[in-house]
Amino acid sequence: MSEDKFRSRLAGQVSFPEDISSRKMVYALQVRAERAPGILKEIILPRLPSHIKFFQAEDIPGKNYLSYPDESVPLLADTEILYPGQPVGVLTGPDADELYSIRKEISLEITPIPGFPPYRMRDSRACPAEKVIQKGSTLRGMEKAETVVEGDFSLILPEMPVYPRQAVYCTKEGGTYVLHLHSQWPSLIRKLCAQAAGISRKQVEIHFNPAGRTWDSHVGQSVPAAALTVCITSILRQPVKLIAERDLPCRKEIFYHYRAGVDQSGRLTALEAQVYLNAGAYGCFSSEVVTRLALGTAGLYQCRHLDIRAKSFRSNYPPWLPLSTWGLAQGEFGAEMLVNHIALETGQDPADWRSRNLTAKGNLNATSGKIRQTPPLSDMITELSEASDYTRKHAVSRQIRTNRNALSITPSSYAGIGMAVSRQGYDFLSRDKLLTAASVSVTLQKEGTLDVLLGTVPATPGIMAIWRKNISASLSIEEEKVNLILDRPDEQSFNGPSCLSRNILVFTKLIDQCCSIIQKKRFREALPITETRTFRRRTANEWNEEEMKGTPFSQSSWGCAVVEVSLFTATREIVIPQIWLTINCGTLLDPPGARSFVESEVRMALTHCLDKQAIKPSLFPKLHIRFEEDGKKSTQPSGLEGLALGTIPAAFTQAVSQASGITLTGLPINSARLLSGGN
Amino acid sequence: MLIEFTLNSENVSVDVPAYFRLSDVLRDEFGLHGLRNACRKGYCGLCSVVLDGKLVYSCLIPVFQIRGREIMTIEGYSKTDDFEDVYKGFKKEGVHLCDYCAPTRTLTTGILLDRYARPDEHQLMEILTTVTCSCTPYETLKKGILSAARFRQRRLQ
Ligand code: FES
Ligand code: FES
Repeated sequence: MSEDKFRSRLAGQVSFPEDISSRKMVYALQVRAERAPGILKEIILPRLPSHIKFFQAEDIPGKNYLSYPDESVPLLADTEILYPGQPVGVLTGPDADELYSIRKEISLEITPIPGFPPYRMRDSRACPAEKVIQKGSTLRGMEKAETVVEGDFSLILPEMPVYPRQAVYCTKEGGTYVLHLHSQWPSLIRKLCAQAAGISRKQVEIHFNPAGRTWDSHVGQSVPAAALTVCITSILRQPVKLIAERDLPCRKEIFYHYRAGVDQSGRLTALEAQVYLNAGAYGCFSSEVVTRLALGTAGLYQCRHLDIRAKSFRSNYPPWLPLSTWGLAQGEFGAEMLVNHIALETGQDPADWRSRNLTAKGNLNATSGKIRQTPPLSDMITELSEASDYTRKHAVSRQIRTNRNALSITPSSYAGIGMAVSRQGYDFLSRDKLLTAASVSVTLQKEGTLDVLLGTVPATPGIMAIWRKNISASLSIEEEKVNLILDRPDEQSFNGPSCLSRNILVFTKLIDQCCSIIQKKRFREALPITETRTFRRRTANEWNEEEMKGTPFSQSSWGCAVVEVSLFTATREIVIPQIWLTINCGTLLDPPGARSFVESEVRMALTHCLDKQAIKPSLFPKLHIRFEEDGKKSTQPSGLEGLALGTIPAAFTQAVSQASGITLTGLPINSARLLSGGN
Repeated sequence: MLIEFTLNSENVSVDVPAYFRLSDVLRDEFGLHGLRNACRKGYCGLCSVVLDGKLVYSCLIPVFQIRGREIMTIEGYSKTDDFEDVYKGFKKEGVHLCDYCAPTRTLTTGILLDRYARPDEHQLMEILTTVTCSCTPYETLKKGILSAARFRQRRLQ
């Protein structure tokens, strides 16, 4: 980043959509149904002054729905109201406060209808997606078992902190609608805005707001807001700023049930697991998320007989999918909780159990794909155990836990330690073009400048600088002459979201490919030379999503974490003094950036664990992060996202269970919950 | 109500209802967008400004209270030498702040370094907690703050 740009960022000279305004601008405020489920009969408006307008479903110039993968969601509900807070209209006017007070006077006539049935009732209407991984016969596997380990737990994901950076500003310049917003879904936004406003995609230009890290789940906030703003701009022909409001309270919950057979030596003979994910009222994105959830739940361990069923279910809450890592880390949470449970039941050291049971080269993975390379996890576990003194600490804590009833005195605090491993693959597993499409176009211009058309959003602040530097080195062009273009409506092809480390994994590769071809052509062909590279999706032979067979990920990253906790006996306050994290994610493009990224993900993972929005700096654990690079030149960067999320919650749960002597059956946890027995 | 005060070393006046929040007035009437109106409840610190040399959360202050007083925002602070120290320190340690909290973080760091020239662990925590941030790692931020403190000491020596 140039000096001046960094200076201007620190000096507050960067504008966010909330900062943009213009003389003719009007504010837009969504009107929402307060009660659900029901059928909307009428929207009763007060007398509106002439400068205030109200728009409802029938006013949407194009299509009044957002076609997401798996299911469309109405932009403004006109009949069925499926969740409280569902938008039914938009008020516009020059004064935001006036809109708020008028909104209070609007009432809706809604006839109640029955809600979705509870998820345990097998009603297909309430299940947008189900994926099954089946291998061998769990019946036979269970017969061989010496012990059967069975359990249930739940994971309730925290709400993300919301800032008004999600405001959207749109203005019409000539025939183009210029949108200012923050999202990692640029192509989808363009497509759905055009569809809703009844205009062509080329008429939508997106100005990305440069707010730092992007989040997978923001599609539900940014896309409807953007589409509504464009629609209203097109109707009013005035600049519009949609007021961002707090997120609606979702039910981000996942329930697990597992039953595992374990033989005398502690090996898994069979695993049956059911995972249920509350998708909210609409099942959009369910299929991809449920696939990954099933894969994560199947775990990374050898087991011949598997029956894993992952389902999403509908409820009368706002839709919220996809979630961070699209379900893989959350599935792994289930698998790792099971491993810790098995180790506890069979009296084994969890680190040791893991090392002995991990799949290796030559084994079949859960979906019957052949493993071609032994994952590096076993070595990572050994190293991390040594670095954190895991084995000794675990044995001591277990001893104390076993003997605690016999102790005549209560110590002021108990310690606990937990471990978990994770694998993250960054390919999308469905064949939906909305997700998987990716292409990069590079043009070497006559003047010697290089235009790199990306159509993606920088997922971390440093990635653009790295691309620029790498391009400049590979083509010997000064960095200033490399233009990274995020968006050009006329030419941009369709690209999937910038999540799951796709920037690192897919776009870096495509940029490299374009550059090496340009390098070959540059002194042979006349300028300008343009090269476009498109991401090749995996064939059905490699991965068959319908049957859940094959090798799901072309490339994986690996993580292993150890979490230490102290539990104060009097207050039941949980403190996490230290976390050790070892990561193998191929070649590291930007070591300080990678560290930052992992650290912030640790923070996010801790919000899954403790019942707080954010972990205060004063309580933030000491982090020991180690990146393993195998040093091979051929190794590609393979992404970082999800490794902390996939490991820390399970390791934390084990540590707290050990320290408290209570088998936890759900996250997040807090002192009150521990005091009342943990569940 | 007409309110006169000093803003970033200039005498200014504004005619707004007395109960308006200072943060709204600074953003809407003076176009100072470096401070963010994020939570509006005194939780996040992203609306911090300097009132008579002390950091305050401007979303909690009714504007009539600043009559005749002196306000500095990041826009004014960025013209000072103290800002340069923070800028250099953050730059040196690769503090990749997303732009959202960057201005307020810079302002609060600079102001609190006046109080803690060589911050110890506890004081570093105070500097960190003044502004809630959802993306930059604490370790990196701490290094940046310490580096800013060193730049300042060197300049003042
Ligand atoms: S906006 Fe003032 S403290 Fe959050
Ligand atoms: S909010 Fe992004 S760096 Fe602080």
